[in-house]
Amino acid sequence: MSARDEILARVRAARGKDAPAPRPPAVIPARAKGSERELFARFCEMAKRAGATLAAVPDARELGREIARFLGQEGLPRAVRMAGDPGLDFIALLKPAGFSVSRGPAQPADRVGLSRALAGVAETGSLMFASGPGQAMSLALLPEVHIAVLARARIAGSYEQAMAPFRGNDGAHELPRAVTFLTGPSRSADIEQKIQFGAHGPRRLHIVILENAP
Amino acid sequence: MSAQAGGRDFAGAARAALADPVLQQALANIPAGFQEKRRNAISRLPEWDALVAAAVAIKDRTLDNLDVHLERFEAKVTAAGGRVHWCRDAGEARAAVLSICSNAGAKTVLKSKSMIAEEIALNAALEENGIEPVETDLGEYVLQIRAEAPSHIIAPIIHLNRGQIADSFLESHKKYGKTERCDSARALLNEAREILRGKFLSGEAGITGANLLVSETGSAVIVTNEGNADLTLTLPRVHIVVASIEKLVPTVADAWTILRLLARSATGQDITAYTTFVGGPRRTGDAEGPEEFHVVLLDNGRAGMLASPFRDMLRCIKCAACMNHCPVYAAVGGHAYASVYPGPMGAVLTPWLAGIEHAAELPNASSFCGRCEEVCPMKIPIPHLLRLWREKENDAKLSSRRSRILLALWAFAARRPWAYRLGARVLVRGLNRLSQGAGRIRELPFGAAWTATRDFPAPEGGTFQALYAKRKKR
Repeated sequence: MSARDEILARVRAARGKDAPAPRPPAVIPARAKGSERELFARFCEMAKRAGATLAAVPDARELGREIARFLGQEGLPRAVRMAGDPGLDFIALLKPAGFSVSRGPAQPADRVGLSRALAGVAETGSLMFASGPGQAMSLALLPEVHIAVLARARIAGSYEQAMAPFRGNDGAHELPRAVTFLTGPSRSADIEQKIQFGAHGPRRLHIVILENAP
Repeated sequence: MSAQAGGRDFAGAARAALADPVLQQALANIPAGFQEKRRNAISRLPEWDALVAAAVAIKDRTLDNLDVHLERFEAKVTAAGGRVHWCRDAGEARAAVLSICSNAGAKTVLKSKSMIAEEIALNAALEENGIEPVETDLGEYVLQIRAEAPSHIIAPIIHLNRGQIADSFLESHKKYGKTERCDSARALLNEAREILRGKFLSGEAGITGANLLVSETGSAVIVTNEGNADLTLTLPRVHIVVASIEKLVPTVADAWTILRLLARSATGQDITAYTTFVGGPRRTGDAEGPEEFHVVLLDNGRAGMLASPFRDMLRCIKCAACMNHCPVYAAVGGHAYASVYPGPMGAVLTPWLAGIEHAAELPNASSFCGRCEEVCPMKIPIPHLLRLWREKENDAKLSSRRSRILLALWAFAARRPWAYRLGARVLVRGLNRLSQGAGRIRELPFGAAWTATRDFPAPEGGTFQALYAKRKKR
C-alpha cells in the first residue's frame, strides 16, 4: 500500500463515530466593526501600536510630496523601487524633484521599496498584499524601508472582509499564490526577549493613506 | 536531535539546570516576556472565550473528518501545480525532501523555523547529503552555529544571554571578516541580517513549516515576525512546506479564528508581523515566486493518535502558552526534557513519538497545577493526558519499583475501608511519634528527598476518618 493510502486508511479508521457537530458560528471581534470613520481611526491606531508610521494625504499630488518628505526625514536617497503595478503609474509620472523610480521586484541594493496595499484591516492595523501581475512581495521584505500606499476606501474591518474579493460565486476562496498580511515592521525578540525592529525585513514601515482614491 | 532521545534522565538534567546560574537568569525573563503580554492581549479582546470555543469546535470537527480534508487539500495543491508527498514517518519525510532538493540541484537550502523539520532531524540529513541548510530565523541561526537544539518551540534561544550569542558570532563570523564583538542586541541582529542577506540571495530551495493547512484553498498558512519565511518562500526556485497531517483546517475563515488566538497566546501580539497564505508555484504573469511547490505531509504516528485517548492533543497549535506558564519549565528550561517538544505539550507528545519506554520520566515532570490547561487556547486537557501516560508507565513497569509497590499498597487499601482505616491509623501514629510533639518532621524515613529542603508537617488529632466521625456525632 502506498504511504498515501495507508495514512488515509488509518485516518478513516479513526473517524468520529457521532454525527458531525454543528458548524460553530463565526466570531468576528467587535473591534472589527463600526462606521467608516471609526474603522479608519482604529486602523491608524492599531498600525501605530504595531510600530508603523502613518501619514494621510488627499490625493496623488500630495503623495509625491509626502514620499519626498519622508525620505528626507529618514536621510534616504530619493530612489524608490516599486513593482510594475499599473495602479502605481501615477507615482512614476509625478517625478518630484530629483526622484528616481525603478520598476520590478526588489534588488539587493534597493533601500526603499514602495507598494500598494490591496486592503487595510482595522482590527489590527494590518495591510494585505497578494502576488500577481505587477505585484512583488520582495519590495516589502528586502529593502530596509517599506512605504505602503493604501486607499482609505480599502480599509476593511476584519481579515475576512479584506479577503472577500477572493471569493467566487460559490463563496469559496480562490487565492493568488501568496496573500500576505503585514502588521508593522519586521522584528525579532529572540535575543533576551527584547523587541528589535528590522530583523530580515524592513526596519521601518511607513503607510501613506490616500484619502480620495478608489 | 531526534524525538527518540525523549526525556532520558530528566531528573539529572533538571538538577543540572537548577544549578546553572546563566540559565536561571535567562528563564527569569519568562513572566514579563510572555505571561504578562499574553494577559494584556487577551484583556483587550472581549471575544476571547467565544473564539476559544469556536476554535476547539473547528478543530474537533476537522479531526472527525480529517481524511476528507486531507484529500481536498491535496486536490487543491495539485490543481495549483504543486505536489503533496505523503510520508508515514520521519525517514520517508527526509527522503522526500532530499529527493526534491537533488532533483532541483539545490546545494544551499534556506530554512524558516519549523518544528516538524526538527522532529524529522532534517538538518543532519541535508548535511550528510552535501546540502547546506541555512537557518534564517535569528534564534535558529544562533543555534545552528552553536550546534545546539532549540529549548522552546517559539523562542528557541530563550536559554541564552546576549554575551553567549556575541561570543558565538565572534567565533563563527571570522570567516566573513568580522573581528569585533557585538555588544548590543541591535548590533547582533544587524550582523546576522547582513550575513543572512547574502545567503537569502543564493539559496536554490526554501523550506518552511506551516502553522495551518487550509483544505478549501490548498494553502499553507505561515506566520513569522522577522519576515524570514516570506523571503524563503519568495526568492528561491523551489518552495517546500513540511507539515504534519493535523495542521488541516477546512476554510480561510476557520484559519482566521485560530490565527486570532495564536499570536496572542504565544507572544501576546494581536497578530504576528507577517501572516501568509501560500500555495502552488508562480502563476502566469507573476513577477516573482518559486517554480516548484511541494508539501511534505507527515504522519509519524498522528493517525494512530487520532484513534487513541490522546486525540485531543492533535488540536495543539504549538503556541507555547503551556510551557510559558509551567512552573516546571520555568525552573529547568527546555533542554532538560531532551526532546524536540519540551514543556507540558512535549510531555504528552514525546512519549507518543518516541515511545513511553524512552520518555517515561516526562509525564512526571509536572506538579499537576493545571495552568497549562487553563491557558491553552485549544482547551487540551494536558494534566488528564499526563495522568494517562502515568498509568501506562505504571502498567509497563517503567516507574520505580518502590513507587509501584506503594501504589499497589494504596490501591489495595483504597478498595478496602478496613485496611484504609488501619493503615491511616498506623501512619498517623508513626508520624506523630517521629515529630515528637514538634508538629513537624525533620527527616522522613524513605522520604529524605522531600525533607532535604523542607519539613514534613505532622498530622494533628488522628486520621481524617476519625475526625470526620467525631464531628458528625457532635
